[in-house]
Amino acid sequence: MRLKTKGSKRFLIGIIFLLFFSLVPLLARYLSPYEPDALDLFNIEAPPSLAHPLGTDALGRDVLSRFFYGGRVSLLVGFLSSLFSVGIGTILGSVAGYYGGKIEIFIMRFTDAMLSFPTTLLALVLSPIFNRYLPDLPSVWRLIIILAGLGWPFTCRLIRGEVLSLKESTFVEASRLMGAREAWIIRKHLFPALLPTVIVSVTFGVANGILAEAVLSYLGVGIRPPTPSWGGMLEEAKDLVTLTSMPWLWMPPGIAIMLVSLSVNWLGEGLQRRTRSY
Amino acid sequence: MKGCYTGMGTDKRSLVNVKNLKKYFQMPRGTILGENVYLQAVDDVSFHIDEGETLGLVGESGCGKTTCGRTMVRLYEPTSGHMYFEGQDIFKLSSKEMIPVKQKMQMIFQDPYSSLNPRMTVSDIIGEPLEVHSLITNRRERMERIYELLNLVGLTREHANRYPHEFSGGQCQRIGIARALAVDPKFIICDEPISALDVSIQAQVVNLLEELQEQFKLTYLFIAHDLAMVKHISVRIAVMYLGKVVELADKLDLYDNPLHPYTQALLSAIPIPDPDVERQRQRIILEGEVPTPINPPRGCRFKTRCKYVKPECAEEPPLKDVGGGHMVACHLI
Repeated sequence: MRLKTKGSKRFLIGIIFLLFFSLVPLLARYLSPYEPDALDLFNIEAPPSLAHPLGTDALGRDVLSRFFYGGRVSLLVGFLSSLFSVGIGTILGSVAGYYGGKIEIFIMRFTDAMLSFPTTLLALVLSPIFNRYLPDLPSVWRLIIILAGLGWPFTCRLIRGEVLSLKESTFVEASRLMGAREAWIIRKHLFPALLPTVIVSVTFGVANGILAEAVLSYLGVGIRPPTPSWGGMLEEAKDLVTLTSMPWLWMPPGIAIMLVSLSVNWLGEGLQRRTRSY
Repeated sequence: MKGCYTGMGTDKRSLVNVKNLKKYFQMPRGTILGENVYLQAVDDVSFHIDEGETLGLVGESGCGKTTCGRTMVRLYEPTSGHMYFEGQDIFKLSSKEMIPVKQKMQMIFQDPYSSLNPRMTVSDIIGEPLEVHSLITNRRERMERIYELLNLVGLTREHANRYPHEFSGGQCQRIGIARALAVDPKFIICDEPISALDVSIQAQVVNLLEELQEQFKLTYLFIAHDLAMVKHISVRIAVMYLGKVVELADKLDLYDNPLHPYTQALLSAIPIPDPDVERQRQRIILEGEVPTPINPPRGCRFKTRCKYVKPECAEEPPLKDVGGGHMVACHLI
């Protein structure tokens, strides 16, 4: 793995931003001046002040505290949905690519079918269905399951292609020729070669997950209030009055979403450069 | 009779004995209801290789020589035929039973770079067969064996921790040879091991292969299209055309007295390093293209390009012995 390469600065910025934006929500409990749900009815829609550094919302809740706690939810959704979807995609993609035949046809046609649906629309439909049949499922988990369930086909296709070419490569043939068993080939040749792709997919997936959380919460089918999330905060601030006269309500989550997804993308790009084989 | 080679003029015990080997690849059908189409890459090939001998296998690109080598070690599953190795028909073995056999048969590949995993160090690459066959018990033994193998192929222990991309093509091929030798094989298939290398490096690698053959009593199947190199390293040479062996003879016999029209044309293409002789060299230039192996000509496969073609060439000529183990498949002889 080469550390210094073109775009090193962006890679570094990506790491620093991401560290910052992961640490802050993780330490939300200690950093937040108030409870995220604490109402201060005497201070409704107050602009930033010393008592409330980012002001308060329509119910008098501290925006800074909600921002910290909301980041926790957004990042959790981003990371977990990405991990799950890449996990499913990697397993199905490897099975399809390695074993071929009917299994491959079945998995890949199903993948094609999944990819042909617009993701957001499908999520919009799935969300109420989940609500109806699993009403006790916390909205965070509902969102993670939906996003993971819709995200895996991308990875599946990517991994299958890679496994297909690896399976036919001469060094795998050489290994097979010397009498190596399937498990050995998968462990020694396939897995290490897939690892860079998997890591990069996970990183890009995090950015997608955070954005999807924002989009779905904004559309009202994501994280249910009162649980704070960045997307949910944007949703609450979408009326014209708030947009024009109370920027402290939507600027922090908006900027945070932008910066996090940007830095995750930079990180992914940097990892891609550094783990590419020669 | 098991393992004894009979039927083609010699009864010496042969290490490798290929009988009626066929490898057809199924091609995508033109229409869904159409007939299955097969590419006849190797069609009814038989030969034997004695212990310690090198058999050269030559022919132009696409004639099936590489497929033949790969099918022999079951990288491709044979369509039909037998391959006796030390008297045992290895095409009948299950993949589990193949594992000990695979320890005795190895292959050196055409592209030295792609045959080495770019993510593994040289010591991991050479150590892989040792671990697969559990030939080593501890780390020290493993490293000692790896250093020993590196020395054998003309590399040093400093090379052990580097990656394949840090080496030249010739060095990579040496690593590939070291890996093949790691399991102490008896039989090595050299699948165009020098075609991808510089001319100056080719000689070094061929010499190395010869030295190793002497030292370890190896048996080679040397697949190549460089006729001069094949003549140098082989004892006998088989010439393939469109999936069939058309001529098989002792190398001197073959080069001095080629009988098959295709062999004659092939050999006339070798330049002679003597300007006076070279000037008088008559090149036989073949007309037309090689027919496709998907639908090869019936009868003699060479009839579409042969200038001596006769009516009986519509019948398939058998590979017959014309004396002294010189075999040729042609109706004219």
